[in-house]
Amino acid sequence: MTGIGVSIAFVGIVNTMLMSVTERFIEFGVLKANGWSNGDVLRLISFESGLLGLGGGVVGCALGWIATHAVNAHWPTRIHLYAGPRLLASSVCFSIVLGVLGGLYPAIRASRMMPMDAIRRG
Amino acid sequence: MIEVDNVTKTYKRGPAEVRALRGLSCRIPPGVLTFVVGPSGSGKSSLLYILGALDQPTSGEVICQGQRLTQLTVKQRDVYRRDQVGFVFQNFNLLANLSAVENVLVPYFPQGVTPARQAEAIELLKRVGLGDRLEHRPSQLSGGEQQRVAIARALLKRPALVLADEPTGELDSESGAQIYRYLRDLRDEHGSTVVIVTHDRTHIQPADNVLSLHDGKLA
Repeated sequence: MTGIGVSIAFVGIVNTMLMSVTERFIEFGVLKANGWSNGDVLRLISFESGLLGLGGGVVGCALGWIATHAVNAHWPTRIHLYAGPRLLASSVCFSIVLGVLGGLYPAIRASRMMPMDAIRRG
Repeated sequence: MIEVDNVTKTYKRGPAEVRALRGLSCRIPPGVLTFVVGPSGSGKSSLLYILGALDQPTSGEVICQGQRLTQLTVKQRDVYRRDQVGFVFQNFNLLANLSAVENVLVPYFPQGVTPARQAEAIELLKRVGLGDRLEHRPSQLSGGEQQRVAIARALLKRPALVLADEPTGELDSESGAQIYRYLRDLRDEHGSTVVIVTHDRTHIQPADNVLSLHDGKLA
């Protein structure tokens, strides 16, 4: 179950970042024309996908925390779920790592593009 | 001095092979406004992009400020573009989600923007008449204003070489004349070599250097 969830999140981040990179093709070309290195572009996109992971992680943890309280309140005698600060913090960290990893392939693609291609399109 | 020696540039467009430059050789003197003129497809823009290390020649040699551009590594070309070359494009190529000041500072974002550099960017925008447009996005600026932001971006580097590809192609004649005044000021103040690709010969003055291209060679 966890594996399926992680896979869906990973594919979602890759897909979102690929779309973002494709839409911003000209922007990356302009940055490279102005002296940004491949590494600079790679870091920018990895940072953005890390932020996406952070946002998803925070929202997911908040929803999870609310859900555990709701379930515990609904079935007080049958279930007692617990999401402590350590679990929530590690989940957010894991989301960030997942975000960065999911953004790597789109980042590498964007960093290797030729600025000329973007400028001709622009 | 820029030396272009027997440069060819061939690229594929679909199944067809385009010979943009066919053994072009020329010298571009430093601190001079050089106009590259010629009909569409004569190789003007290809030459400009090769001079700016945005593109590589298929064969031949280009020496800019003593550097053999064909022998630079990818990283060296990035540094060359960032520190020595200012680009001004026909369609401005500003980033839509950044303000005018941020667009001027874009080349220096990876290294971090110092307060001194930010102050310089603001000063440059004021100088090109955009002191009241500092925080405006490109969509809130006219074509002439966007091109002035692009010129301020090029000026911030104090570049040895400014490359302008049809810089007034999308502007009215008054805005166009103003852009040429800024480019001439840039040459006068910093001694920059300015290379301008254009169809429009009306702004060429007798002291300017003119390279007339036809079919990828000097006409």
